[in-house]
Amino acid sequence: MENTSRWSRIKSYWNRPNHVAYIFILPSLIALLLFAFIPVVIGLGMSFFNVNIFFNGTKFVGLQNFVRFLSDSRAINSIWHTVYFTVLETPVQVLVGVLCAAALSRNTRFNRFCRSTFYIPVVCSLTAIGLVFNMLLDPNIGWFPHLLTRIGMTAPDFFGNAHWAMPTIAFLTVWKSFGVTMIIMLTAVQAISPSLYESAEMDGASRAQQFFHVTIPQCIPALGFCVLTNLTGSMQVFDQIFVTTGGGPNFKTESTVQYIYNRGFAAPYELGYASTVATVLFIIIAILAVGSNLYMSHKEQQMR
Amino acid sequence: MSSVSLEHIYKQYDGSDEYSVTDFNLEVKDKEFIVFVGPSGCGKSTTLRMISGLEEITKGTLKINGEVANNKAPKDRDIAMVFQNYALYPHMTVYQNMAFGLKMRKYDKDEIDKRVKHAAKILGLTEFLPKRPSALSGGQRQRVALGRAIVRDAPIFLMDEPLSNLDAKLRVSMRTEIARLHRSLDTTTIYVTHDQTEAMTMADRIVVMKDGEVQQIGTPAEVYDKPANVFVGGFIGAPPMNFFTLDFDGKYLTDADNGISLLLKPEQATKLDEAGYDGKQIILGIRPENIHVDEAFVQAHPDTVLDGEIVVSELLGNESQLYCKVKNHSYIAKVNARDHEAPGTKKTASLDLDTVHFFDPTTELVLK
Repeated sequence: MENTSRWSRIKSYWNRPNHVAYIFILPSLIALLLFAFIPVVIGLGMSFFNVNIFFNGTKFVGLQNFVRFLSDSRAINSIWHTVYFTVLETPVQVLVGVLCAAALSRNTRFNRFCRSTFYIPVVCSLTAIGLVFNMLLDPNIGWFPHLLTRIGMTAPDFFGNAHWAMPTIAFLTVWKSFGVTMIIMLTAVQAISPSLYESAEMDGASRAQQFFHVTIPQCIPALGFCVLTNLTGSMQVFDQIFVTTGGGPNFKTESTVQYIYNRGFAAPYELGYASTVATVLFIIIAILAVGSNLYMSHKEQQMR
Repeated sequence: MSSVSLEHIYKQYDGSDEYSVTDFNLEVKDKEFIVFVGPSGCGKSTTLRMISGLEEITKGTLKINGEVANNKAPKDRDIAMVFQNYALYPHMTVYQNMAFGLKMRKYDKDEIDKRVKHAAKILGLTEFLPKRPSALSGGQRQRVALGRAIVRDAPIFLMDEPLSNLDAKLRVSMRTEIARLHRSLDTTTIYVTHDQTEAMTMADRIVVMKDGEVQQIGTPAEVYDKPANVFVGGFIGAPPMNFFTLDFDGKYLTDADNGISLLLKPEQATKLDEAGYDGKQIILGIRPENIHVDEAFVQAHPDTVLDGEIVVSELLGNESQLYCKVKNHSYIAKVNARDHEAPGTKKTASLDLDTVHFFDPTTELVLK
């Protein structure tokens, strides 16, 4: 008897709106804990140790790994490569996404067809797309270089040439993922009251002026979200580089995550030092994320 | 000088097989205040938007200052527009909102500053210039919307239900403010509303619309006193005109089912007779204020009485609205407050025959 009443008391407690919410988020909370929070903490801890993948000869070394990082030119270069990639990729991706969203905002049949088409690469695997581009751009058997030769141009070795490799990787990344930005921006653009455009039209604003004076300012929150997710994503670029250039030529496209992988999960299997580089990358991304977030919410405040 | 002329204007939306606006003809004179009024969906906003250029004209000719303007872009029409929901740019300050139209038209900074500050002064917005629309009340936002039109110094103003988002009290004060602005700015104004009080109080001429068709164009007095058809009679005036469908036998108008029998004046009977209504039905329209219940009037007019019962009565202070019923026919009488009675009371009323309107029951047009 007492048991049932206790059970019903527990049930009614967890049924309250602000308690039941915790039950709903519990599964993802557990997953996050297991696969994100705990590994981050372990990784942070490991960066102070000399530890290899077989866990033999583990030794606490303090800040020694960080000192080593500062004089490791391959690690520093990998960060520059990552930044270079981000600078190439993020602005173009956001811009293409926003322009497409603005151009395709009306619900015509043609626009809907374009939207679905542009979104298809998003659901494909980056690895698969990387491999396809590998073949398309291959200087010997690739279709694209073949086309260029047909019109009398010499095709560069897109993935083999140090100047072309990173822009090519950035291009295929934009092509693969601008659909996400487009869809997010599309909902933001469609939420803008049509009367603002009519009013701008009466005010004598051209289509381009309407885009800059109405669309963009009205989309700042969504735009902020896109820039933030893009920025953090680009800083962790790995798959497409791994399957196309593999970091080459001459490490010119080696990204930080790839360097971490090469240190920790390939010979010499130095998990400790790899964790150190990961920690540095973590700090850089955190600074970028917090900074852009602050800037965007400041902008948003201004727009209110 | 600025004039707008609409000649046989039609509007058909894509995918619709009916016209939303049919054969609209109107000549708007310089500095005139025209009000389009009608129930929602009657095509009044569509017509306004065709004048502004935001909506394409399917058929017909629109002339602005004598020039055909059908294919001119909105910005080239010399027109300023005030929108129903204000359509202020939320990310701009009041100042920037008012300056935007001038900036787009490449006015120099000093001129913009001068005009914005002048408009702000007229509208009492000076202290709000650095604020954003979200910090303003509804009435203030409405004023900014007006200010945006004023700074443009356009000869023609279009207003699309500008007061419908305001509360009743504010609406009345903004109404007088807009009327005052119109007088001082000397603009030609076309104003859309579904509120017949706004139409009556502000307009030089009213255009009454229904189902995309113009019902009547006239001064407020003309539209009120000489409605062109049953719809105009019922739409203009609150409470609306009362209508009785009655049989005419050459002398009397009767409704046997509801026990109504009215003896017409000889000249009225002759007129209806001559028009060929002997033995036919006719619609009689009478305004609520012309149905009297005070004893003196009823005794003096015993041939036009209605023996009704009050169903609902509304005392408005100086007057009372009696919703009455005679058998199955309802009518409203607007009477002096001292004749106010509680529901359930039997009340004999008499019609003032000098003020009645006769309409044809099939065409619903007024008989002159």
